[in-house]
Amino acid sequence: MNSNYWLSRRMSRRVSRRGVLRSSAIGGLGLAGAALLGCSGDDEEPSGGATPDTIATTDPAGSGEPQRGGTLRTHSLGDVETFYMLTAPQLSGGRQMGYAISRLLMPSVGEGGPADGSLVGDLSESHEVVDPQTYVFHLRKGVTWDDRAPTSGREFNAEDVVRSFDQASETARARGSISNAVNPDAPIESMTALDDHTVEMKLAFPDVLVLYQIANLSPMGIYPVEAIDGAFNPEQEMRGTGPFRLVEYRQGVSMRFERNEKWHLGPERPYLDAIELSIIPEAAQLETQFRAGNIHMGSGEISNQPQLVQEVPGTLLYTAPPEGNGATLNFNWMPDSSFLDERVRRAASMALDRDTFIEVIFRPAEYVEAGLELPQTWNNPLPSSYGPWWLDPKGPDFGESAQYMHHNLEEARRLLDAAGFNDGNPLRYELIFPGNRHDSRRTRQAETWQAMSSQAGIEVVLNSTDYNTGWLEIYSPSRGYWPRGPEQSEPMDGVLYRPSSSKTDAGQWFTDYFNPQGSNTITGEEFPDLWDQVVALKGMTDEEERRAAVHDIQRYAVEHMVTCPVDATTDFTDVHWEGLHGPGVVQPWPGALGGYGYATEVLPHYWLDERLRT
Amino acid sequence: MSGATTVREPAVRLDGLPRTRSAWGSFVRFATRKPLGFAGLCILVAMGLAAAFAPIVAPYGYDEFDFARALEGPSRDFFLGTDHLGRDVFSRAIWGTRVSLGVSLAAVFLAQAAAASVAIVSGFYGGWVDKIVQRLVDIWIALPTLVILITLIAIVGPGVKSMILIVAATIAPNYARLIRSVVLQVREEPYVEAAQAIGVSNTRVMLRYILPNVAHVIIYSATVALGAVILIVASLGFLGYGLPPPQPDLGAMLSGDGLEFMRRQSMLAIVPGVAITLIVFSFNIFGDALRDALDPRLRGR
Amino acid sequence: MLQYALHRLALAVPTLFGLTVVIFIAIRVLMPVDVVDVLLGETDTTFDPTIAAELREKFGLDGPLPVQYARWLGRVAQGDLGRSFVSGRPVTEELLYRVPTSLQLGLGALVITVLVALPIGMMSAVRRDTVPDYLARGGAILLYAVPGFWLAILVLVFGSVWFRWAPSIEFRPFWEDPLANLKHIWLPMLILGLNSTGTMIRLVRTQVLEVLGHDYVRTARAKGLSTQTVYFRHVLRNALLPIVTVVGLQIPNVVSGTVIFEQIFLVPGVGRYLLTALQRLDIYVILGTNLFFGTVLVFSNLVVDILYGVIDPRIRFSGR
Repeated sequence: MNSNYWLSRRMSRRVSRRGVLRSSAIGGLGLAGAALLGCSGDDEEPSGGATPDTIATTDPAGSGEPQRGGTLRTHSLGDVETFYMLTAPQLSGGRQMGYAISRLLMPSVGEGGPADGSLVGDLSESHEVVDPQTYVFHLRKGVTWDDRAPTSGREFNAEDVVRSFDQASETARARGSISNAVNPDAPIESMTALDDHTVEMKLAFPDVLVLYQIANLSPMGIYPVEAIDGAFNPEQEMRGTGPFRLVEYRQGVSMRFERNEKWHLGPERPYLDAIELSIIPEAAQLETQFRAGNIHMGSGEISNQPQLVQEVPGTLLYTAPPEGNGATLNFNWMPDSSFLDERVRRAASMALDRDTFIEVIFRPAEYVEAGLELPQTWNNPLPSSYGPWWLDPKGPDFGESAQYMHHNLEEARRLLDAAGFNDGNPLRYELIFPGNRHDSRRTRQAETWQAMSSQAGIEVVLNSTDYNTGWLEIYSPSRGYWPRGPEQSEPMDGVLYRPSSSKTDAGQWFTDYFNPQGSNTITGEEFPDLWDQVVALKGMTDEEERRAAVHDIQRYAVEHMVTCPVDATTDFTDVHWEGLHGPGVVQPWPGALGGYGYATEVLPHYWLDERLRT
Repeated sequence: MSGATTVREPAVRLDGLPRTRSAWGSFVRFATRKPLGFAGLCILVAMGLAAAFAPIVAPYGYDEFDFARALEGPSRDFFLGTDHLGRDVFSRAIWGTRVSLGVSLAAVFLAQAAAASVAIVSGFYGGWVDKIVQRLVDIWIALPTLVILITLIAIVGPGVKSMILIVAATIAPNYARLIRSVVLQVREEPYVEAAQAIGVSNTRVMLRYILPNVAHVIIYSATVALGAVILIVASLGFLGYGLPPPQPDLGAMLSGDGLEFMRRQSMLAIVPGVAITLIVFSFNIFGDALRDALDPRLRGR
Repeated sequence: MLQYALHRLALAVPTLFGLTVVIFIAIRVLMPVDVVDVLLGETDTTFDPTIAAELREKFGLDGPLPVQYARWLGRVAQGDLGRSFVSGRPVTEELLYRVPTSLQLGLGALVITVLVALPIGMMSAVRRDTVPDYLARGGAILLYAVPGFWLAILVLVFGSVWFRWAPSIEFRPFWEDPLANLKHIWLPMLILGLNSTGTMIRLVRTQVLEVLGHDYVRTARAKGLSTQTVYFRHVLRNALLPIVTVVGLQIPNVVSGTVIFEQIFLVPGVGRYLLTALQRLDIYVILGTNLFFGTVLVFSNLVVDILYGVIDPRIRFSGR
């Protein structure tokens, strides 16, 4: 496994001496691997050199222990519409939920290196598998709800869990993914309280993936009974047992969170006294505010990062594993589609030069100029952020089928020719993507895609649709639209699709997107044996066995090109100001900072030194 | 109705000059009397020609890329530099102007055609038709045009067709009111009454006698409207409701990708903005000069 | 006067009614997808038709369209604009929170417009066909032609690149912290104000020219009154009437401008509320905000009409 991505990732990180030094600053976290913090400008100066007098009290190399205190200033793109995910129809602002709302289990974070995807207890202290269909959770004792009435500091108990589950299976938008009563494919039959601090979960069928489902904050956030009974309005008041408490919310302006002194994973964490979150919907405004030092860190949306860290002293670039939701080109499975021919699908994929794609989309050369080497990975249908679960198409273990992801114009043309397409009768298809300014990267991807395909003699017609109106019309399979339904108004062939949420587990990812009956299917009913492989995952208790099966699924998916992976990617990169410790070192699973539970999993480990304490 | 009598055509023509003067003569007169307006006209003609013949004039296609030369500054190859996909900024500005001008022309033409027909018919007949039409126009004018425009386009979804139709529908009433006020004056002119007296059909009166005499208002207001519509279309593009990519849209070029990279390649920020400003500016100075030249009552003021 | 105002008011009701009908039809008929589908979005991984049905019922979007509309209208008559589809919060409340901010921005911009345009416009008319006049006229057209959003972006982008300057990040309502409020809102106010100054200068100039051509001005001058007295007592007063109308004409521009500038400059006003709602097609918020903007315009027109009556010189003369 020499070319294993994770190994190479760590090795590439050791290149930076300063990266090693800086990561030792995270004393409370240890050093599982040397994470890289980028450099601002030259390599020899200690990074604190820009503001020497303000750091006199701390070691610039950062050997100091994490300190408590300070207010972290960050941003959000929009308002949080509702704090109550047990009834929310849409969770666009759900990212902030994790500040205050806890779960039974959560994915662990990587400390100094990438996370490995294992689950740890949140409100559940431990759990046991009684039999494949019975799980028992032992809840933490002494956890208290918000001090304000009506919860008034009451102790958290099993009833809160049971009622939250019942409410979720009744009204939560994603109830179909957990509650067997709603959806026969969903595993959980019931949750019952055995005593005040023990909950028993009964499954309708054995499913080892259920724990990952529970670790997803949507729909399994745990709310107090008072919220469910309407004693206060949980849609507008965020009250839970999480690491922070929402103390002020100015609509459209800012949110202020303060440390929950009684957090059950405390008491030393969270280190931060408070988090001030400014709501900034404009990209230009966001970059301007960061440059001026009005916010300490971005959430991945700040543009011109390599230039920025070179132009603005005191800012750093850092990396984390890439996003857990890679774009794929989804094929049309209608009877007259050219893509029913496997050769055509393979040719479409081989026309894409994934390394150049990375250069165009992410411009890694500019990061090198700023002193940061970015690892470059290719997503197969499973995004590369799924760590050991992901199989590197460039690695030796992938096998024969990896060739269909390598750029090979000759072979692509040969395949097309065999399928009856040539210069006189080129393969021509429409690529549909939601292109508007709210997501300009997708436009860039589509334009690049079109350009590359043309070199293989494939004519790609770009069809950009408005997200709300056109896109959902095409891509609402659940409502009987593409790719299954005959209801679409115009014929179409390919859809550039990017799942809008990451999953807690690779198996869960496949379950969502390869399910022929599922609403988000990208394979249609074309590959029944693929789906059989995915279903078999639910019964595999042995992790090694399951991982091997997950790898096999990826080989199969690429072999038959069930969907064409588009995203070749680099690490997630972002910037922060010197004086903030944690970004790049504390790494969430599976990747980007977009997960609902981010605030619980990651932010408690961040801390500020004197430079940003004022 | 013997048909022996011919009604004299109105003595005053579009340009307010005796009809004996040749078109060329009035043009030269306009150019010498109104140098600023003439300059505006020249800019417009130049930009219009460049836009119309974009495939010939623009050195590159709007989607012609070279990944290796992305985000370059102005150079011999790329007059105004390149964008993030290595596309020529100058060529994209020309194509963008073509799209913006095209959409605006179509929208204004539609709006003016609708406004003029409604205004002439309702102004000519008067009575309850006129009352109802005027009431509707009053209602529409009282509303926040751009807000409704954004709302409707966001709902219906952006696209060339929907953009033209919605823009035309939202601006038309303003012009209907203006044209009607002139129709009311023209209707009282002796030559119109004379034509009616000898039994010329109403349709013919409207087409032959009223339309030519309100044409100057239509032309002038269309000129000014074009400037306004280009601004509106650009604002929509900026807000994310412009024409869908890969269509180059001057307003959209200032948001999204353009906005992301303009700190590095300042031409991305400057070129589309200057293009919009130049077009709108030219339409307005030309429009002003045209109004002075066309409307005898305002001339010399 | 009162009768006139009442008459205009009576016209306002069908105007606003028509507006909501148009938008309602656009959302429920012209839009290619159902709002409930939009709300559930593509991340609804396990489709469950009962959720959509429940949502329809909860938000009053079930049953025939006229019934849906009538239901909404009935609630509006009681001052309830419905609830946001996404957050479940009452639209009326959310609007009330944002209205003062938008009004402050809009009125402030209007004041800037008048303060800049009035002297320049007058000067331009009085010094007709001189260099200052040409400059003023050219400048006015230029101000009109420069897209306001472009100006805003230039300030934001190059302000930070060249001077590492950023506008204030945190908005505060005026009544809470006037200083912080002004520190935040002056920039959008100024750009929005300048944006409509061009048109205003031109209109003021035209009106003053008109007045200058009147007999009484010539008479006043002939009587040997000082130039200043003539301009301020006779010209300005008589030009004021049309200028009030002109200010009224600027209100739609300013209202539209708030939508763009609130978004760019982090002002939590009604315009930004509308833009967010449009991204999600949050039907009742869209209806509510449009109704608000419509109301503002209809009533400002009304106020202008009444002012028109108040300062109409003919009414004064008949009183003497």
